[in-house]
Amino acid sequence: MAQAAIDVRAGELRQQVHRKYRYIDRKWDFMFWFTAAFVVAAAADITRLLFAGDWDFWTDWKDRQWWMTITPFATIIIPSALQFIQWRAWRMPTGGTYTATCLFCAAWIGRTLQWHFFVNYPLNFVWPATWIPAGILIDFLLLETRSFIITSVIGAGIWTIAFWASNYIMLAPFLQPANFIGHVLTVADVQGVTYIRAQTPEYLRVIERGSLRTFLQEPQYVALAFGTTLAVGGYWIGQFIGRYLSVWPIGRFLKQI
Amino acid sequence: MKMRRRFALSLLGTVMALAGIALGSTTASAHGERAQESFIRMQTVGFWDTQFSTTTANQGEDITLTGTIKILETWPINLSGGNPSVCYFTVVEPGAQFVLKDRVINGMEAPQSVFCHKGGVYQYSMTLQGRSPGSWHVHPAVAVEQAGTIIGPGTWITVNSSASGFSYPLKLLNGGTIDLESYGTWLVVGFSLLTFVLGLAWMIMWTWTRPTITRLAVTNQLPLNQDGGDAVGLVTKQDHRNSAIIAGATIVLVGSGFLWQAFAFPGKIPQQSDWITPPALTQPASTATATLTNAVWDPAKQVMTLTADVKNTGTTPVTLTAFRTAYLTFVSPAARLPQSGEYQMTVDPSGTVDPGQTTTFTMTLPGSVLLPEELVPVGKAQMQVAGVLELNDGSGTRNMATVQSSLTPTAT
Repeated sequence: MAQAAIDVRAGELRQQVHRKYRYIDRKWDFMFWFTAAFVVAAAADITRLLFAGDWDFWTDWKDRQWWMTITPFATIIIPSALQFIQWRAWRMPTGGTYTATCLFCAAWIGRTLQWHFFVNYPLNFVWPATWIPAGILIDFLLLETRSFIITSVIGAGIWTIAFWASNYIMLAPFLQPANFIGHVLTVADVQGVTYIRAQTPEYLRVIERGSLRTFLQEPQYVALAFGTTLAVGGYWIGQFIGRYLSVWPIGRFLKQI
Repeated sequence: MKMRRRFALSLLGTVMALAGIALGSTTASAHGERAQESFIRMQTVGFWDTQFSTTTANQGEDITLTGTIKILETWPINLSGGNPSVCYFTVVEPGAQFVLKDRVINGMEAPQSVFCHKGGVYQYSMTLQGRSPGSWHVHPAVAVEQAGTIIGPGTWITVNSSASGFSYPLKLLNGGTIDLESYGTWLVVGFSLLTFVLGLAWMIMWTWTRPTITRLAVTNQLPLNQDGGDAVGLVTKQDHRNSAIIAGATIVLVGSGFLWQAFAFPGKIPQQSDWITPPALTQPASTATATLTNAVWDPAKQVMTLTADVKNTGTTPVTLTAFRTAYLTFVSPAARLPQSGEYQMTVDPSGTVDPGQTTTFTMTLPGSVLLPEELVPVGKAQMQVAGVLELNDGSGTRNMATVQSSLTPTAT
C-alpha cells in the first residue's frame, strides 16, 4: 500500500518534470545559462585573482609548493556555491564544470586580448590553468553520492589532485633546465627574466625556496595535503555563499511576493 | 516623436563625446615616475652615467644600457624598514616590447635578484633586444624589496621591423635549442582545448536534452540528497552512464597526459632562486666631502636654492660639477654644458675649492624643471631634498657625495 502511494507520488512528479509550460519555454533556459555565464565567470575570476592572482599568470610562479596549495582553495569557492545552487534548484551536477568552463573562456579571452595582443607577452608565458577536469570529477562525485559532505571531503582532494595533474602536463616543458648567462634555470625562470615585468620584480615570487630536505625532498606531496585541507575550507565557504547568500534570500523574496 | 528626437540627440551626443575622446587622446609614454612621491625618488637611489648604446635598432639587435646606481645613505626609514637588502635591476618599458638577454652587476652575471645594501654602489649593464616594432620609452630601474620600483633616466628607442621577425633561441641543458617565443604554446592551447571539449560535453549533456528552469517545481518537493531516480526522471540511469563516460574520459586524458609528460620531459627541476651578492665596487679614495646646509623653495620666483659646504680633502683643486636627484641631473656652468636629458643650474661662487679649504656654494635649480616632475615637496609629509653632489678633482677622481636637507619654503 505504502509502495503504491510512493509510486503514485513519483508518477505525479514525473509528469511535472515533463510538463510543457506555456510561457516558460527553452528560450528562457538558454537565456539563463548564457547570461549567468558572464556573472559566474566574473565571480570565479575575481576570486582567483584575489587569492591566487600571480600564481595563475606566469609560468615562473607556477611552482610545486605555493601554486598548488593556494590555488585549489581560491578556485573551489565559486564552483561549490554553484554546485549547491544548481543541484538544489534543478538536480544538475554541473556547478563545478559550469564554473570551470565559464572561467576557461573568460581567462583565455583575457590572456589573449589583454596580455598577448595588448602588452605583447607570449601566450606560453601567461597561459591560464584549466580547472575543467577537476570540475567534471567533483560534479560526478556529487552526482553519485548526492552528498555535499562527502563531496567536500573527497571532492576537495580530487579537485586539488586533478588541478595539479592536468596543469602539470602543460607546465612540464617549462620545467626543463636551460643555460642562461652561465646559470642553470628552468625555461619558466628564463621567461620570467627575459620578458620584462617592470612592476613584478623577481623577488616578489612566492615560490618554493628550498625544501629543508623534508618529505623525501618532494614538497608537492605536503603541498597536496595542505592544498586539499584548504580546499575543504574553500568548499564550505562556497556552500555558505550558495546556501545563505543566494538560495535563502531568493526563497525569502519569493515568499514575500 | 519627442522620444525619437531625444534618442537621436542622445546618440549624436554619445558619438561626439567618443570622437572627442579619441581625437584628444595622446600616446601614454611615462611610466608613473611622477606619481611616486618626491621623497622616494630623491632619498632612495642615485643614478648616474646612464648610457644607451643606441636609440634605433632592428628586431633582434642588441641594445645595451649601462650606468651606475647608488643606494643612498639617505634611504628613508619608512621603506624596507630603512634597510634595503634585496634589489632587482630591471628595465621599465611598456609591456614586453623588448627582451632582456643579459644582466651584469659589478662585473657579475645576475640572472635574478641580488643582495644589496644602503650605501652600495652598483655598476650595471643590461642587454636588451628589440622585440616589437615601434617607438618605446625605456628606463633603467631598480626594484627594492618592500619599496617598489625606482625609475632612472629614460629615453625613446625605436625598434624597426626585420623581415625575419623575432625569435629567441634558448639552449637547454639536454643540448636541444628551443624558441622561447613559441615553445610549448601548442601543448598548452591543445590540452586546454581538449579539457574544454570535455567540459562542453558535460554541460551539453546536462542542459541540452532537458529543461532547466521548470525543474525547480519538482526539486522543491524532494529532499536535498534525493533526485528521485528513474521513477521521477530528473536524473536517470542513462544520465549516470553518460556522466561516467565523460568522467572516465577525463581521467584517461589527465592520466595519459601525466604519464606522457613524465617520458617526454625527463630531468625537470623546480623553479630556481639564483640570487647573488655582487662584488663590492672598488672606489677611489675620497678627495672631497659635501654637506647640504640649507634648501629653500621660493614659489614667487619658482626656484630652489641649495646651500652646500664643500670641503677639499685631497691635494688638487675640486670643482662642483653636478647635482643629481631622482632621475635628473643639474650641471654646473663651470663644469660643462648640459647634455641630452640634463639641465643647467647656477652655482655661486663659480670656481674651485683649493686643497684643505671649505667653500660654501649656493646652487639655484629652476622650478620649470622641478615642478613638472613634482620634485618640490612643499605640503608633503617629508619636506626634504636629497641627492648626490658630484665633486671632481684635478686628477680625475669623481667624488659622489650624498647630501640631504630639510626644504624651507618661503611661503606654503
